[in-house]
Amino acid sequence: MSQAARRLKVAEVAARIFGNVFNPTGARQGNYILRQGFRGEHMVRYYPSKQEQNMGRVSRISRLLGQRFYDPDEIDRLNVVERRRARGKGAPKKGEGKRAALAKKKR
Amino acid sequence: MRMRSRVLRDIKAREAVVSQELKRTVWRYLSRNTAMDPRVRMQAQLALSRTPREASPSAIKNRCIATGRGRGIFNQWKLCRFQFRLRALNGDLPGVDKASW
Repeated sequence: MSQAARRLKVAEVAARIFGNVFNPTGARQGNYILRQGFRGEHMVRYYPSKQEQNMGRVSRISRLLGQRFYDPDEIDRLNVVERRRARGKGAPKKGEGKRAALAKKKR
Repeated sequence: MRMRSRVLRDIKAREAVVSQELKRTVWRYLSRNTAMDPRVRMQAQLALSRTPREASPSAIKNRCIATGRGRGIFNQWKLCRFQFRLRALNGDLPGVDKASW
């Protein structure tokens, strides 16, 4: 038995003992695809859900204090509405709008 | 969000990836395994090319979760460069600091 053939035989026996793949020619077996693992579940979770979005809105301090919701945008909006109302620019009450006055005239 | 339809399309593609993942893995393995019967390999390759392109994970593009923008995304924060800058300056991103030297 030549030296090269013997080395090949040793490699084959070693592969069998240690449970490795014996592939002396380096033929493509596609095993790397089975090793890759599935990443679809991770990809689906890329965009945050509504709940996670709200979590991001609550500042970390108020979360520590136990306040459930703190929305700076909403507070800004309420401030604007309050200022408009002080100037008499707020929305009319029910039955005092333009259309309600027209309906009254017709009757 | 301005590019809402783009984001919805992307979400749909991601769901397609999940639903087709197992099949695609089997076909990929069959087609790349040279020890397989050439007929089987050919059929697997044809099946792969017949699946919609959006079901391929490499066709998925990460978009900004705030605006839906598809370019200039920081993957670590999932934000586009401008939203990243706004939030970083506002102090919303832990560990991000404006460089100064």
